Amino acid sequence: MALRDLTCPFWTSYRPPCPTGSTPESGERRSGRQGPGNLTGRGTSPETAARFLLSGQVWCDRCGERVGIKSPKPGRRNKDKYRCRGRRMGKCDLPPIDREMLDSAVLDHLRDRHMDVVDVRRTVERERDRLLALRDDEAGVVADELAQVEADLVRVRTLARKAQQEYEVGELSAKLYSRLDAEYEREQAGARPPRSV
Amino acid sequence: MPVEQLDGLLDAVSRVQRLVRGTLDAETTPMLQDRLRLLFEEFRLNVRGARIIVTPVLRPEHRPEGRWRLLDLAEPDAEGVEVVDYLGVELTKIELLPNLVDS
Repeated sequence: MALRDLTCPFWTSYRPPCPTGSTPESGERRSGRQGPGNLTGRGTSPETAARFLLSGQVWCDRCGERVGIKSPKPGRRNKDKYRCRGRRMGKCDLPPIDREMLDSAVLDHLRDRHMDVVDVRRTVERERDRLLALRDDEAGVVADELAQVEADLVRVRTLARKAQQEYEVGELSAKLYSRLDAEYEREQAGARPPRSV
Repeated sequence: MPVEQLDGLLDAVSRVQRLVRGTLDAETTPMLQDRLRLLFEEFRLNVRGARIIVTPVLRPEHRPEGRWRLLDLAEPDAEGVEVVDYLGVELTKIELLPNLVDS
């Protein structure tokens, strides 16, 4: 089922601009609704309203009344329902409609036809950008640490080489050289990147 | 990356996954309610035979120019819930997680 643009000359009859023949304001006039509506549903707990995807946004096309939300009383096995308020006044025959069935149908429709409503692509891209920025920051810190470690390594190797040369020409005793060599070995072993990138 | 940021990121990814899979729960439903209110003025319900017809009424800023009528191409014995679609409408993109950066 679709709403067809009738500005095409092929179509000779039309309905008013609003899809079902009502104006956007008519719903507010009928029930005295102000603004975007009661976000939690009239007389309904926020917890209940939070379960109904279309809470506070549904109107009956048959009688013009608001379609409320109704959850089963504790201990009952009924399910959550959308229920036209016109039924209470005996002027509407719209049956109560299962919440899960209606919400799923609307969600499936939006996902299949208008995925932009939940703009996943942009959301994921933004998360990706944020993650990349974080990784860049992290990489910067790691690069600094790596440069420091490499400088330490060069210094220790130079010292080790110098100690060996001095030992070979007899300027260092075997005992002292042995102690220095062991110390430089330890420093070289410790001069490794603190973590992998 | 601090643990708090990692946790926040994982929560966000989880929310996106649940929305993409169509799972409605106490966290994702209010989020989608808000998005829907930005796009749709109301949803109108009707019954035709064994079918429940849902007509989403777009907000004026998203509503396309022109005069509209319902084209019902369904079989007479069709049943279930049917959501009316607008032909040729490109809805304004709305971010799924508008407050994520601030959180």
